[in-house]
Amino acid sequence: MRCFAIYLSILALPFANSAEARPVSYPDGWTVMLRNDVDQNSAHIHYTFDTQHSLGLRLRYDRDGDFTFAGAQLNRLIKRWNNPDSQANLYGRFGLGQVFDDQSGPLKRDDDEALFLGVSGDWETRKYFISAAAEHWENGQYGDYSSFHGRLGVAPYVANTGALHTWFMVEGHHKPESEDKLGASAILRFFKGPALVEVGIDDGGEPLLNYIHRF
Amino acid sequence: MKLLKALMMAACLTAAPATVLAKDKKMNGPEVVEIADISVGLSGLVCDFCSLALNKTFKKRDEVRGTYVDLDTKILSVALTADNTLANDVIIKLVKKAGYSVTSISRKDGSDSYTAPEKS
Repeated sequence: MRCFAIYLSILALPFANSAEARPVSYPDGWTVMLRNDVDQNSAHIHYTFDTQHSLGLRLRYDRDGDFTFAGAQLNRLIKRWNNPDSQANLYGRFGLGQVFDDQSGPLKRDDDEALFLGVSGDWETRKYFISAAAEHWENGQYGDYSSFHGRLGVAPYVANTGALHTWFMVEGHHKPESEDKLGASAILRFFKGPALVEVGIDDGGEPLLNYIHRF
Repeated sequence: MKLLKALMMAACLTAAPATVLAKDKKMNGPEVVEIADISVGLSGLVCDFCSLALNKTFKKRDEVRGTYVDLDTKILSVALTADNTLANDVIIKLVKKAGYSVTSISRKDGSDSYTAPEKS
């Protein structure tokens, strides 16, 4: 099973983590994005101030390194392709802030500056979904970190406006600096109106829970 | 520090102004299709977030009484308030602002229809 999941993840690479793949909504729109998986507990709230940009706050607890990033995140929709039955997007993102140690005691590390850069893309119809993302974090003394995520999805039925949309997805990741360099997750996405929920489990048995809400 | 982070998280989750959370008073159900003055054909529609973006963008206009986006037909139906209209160039700009593309515009009274040029 683990080999199969990793095989799927290789196929999916370099597709991506879609819970963050649509970081720009519509002018004057607010979005809350929560992501919880084996790597992180992350919250990102942003305000879309024009068709191509959103700016927000990002909190990200790194579960492996036991530290937290808090800072600002700017997202840019670099290009969108609208077609009669599909849409594709290319996004860039940049974050700047501080990292704080979550350990206490004499080994507690000082705060440090951090930044990250990311790029992601997606293509979807109402039936199929593909996304890809790459991200690099510079965390000062806390260590640098890169990740490549990919995702493939299929909807078992095509739902109309306001109905419950359901997706079966597989996400693969490659983390060069991590001990577990390759991995995969199986994900169920439920999508209705302004809310999107994802529940899943990775090949190591770790749960995944993501939530997006647009206002 | 954990208190600071908790406070920041709370601030994040409550930062959206009350105005955007207020209940939308305009029509947004499929009943709008029956009374629509304008039907706008769209491309790029793939999910409910698309519908939301178009509804929110159009409903900011005083001329608009209600909107409904049908993902199956790819049509945005717009019902106008009395004695108002929306010109084609305004509709095209609003759709673009929401992030999508217009393929056609037709009106209940048959006037001023529009078809987007074919992409070469």
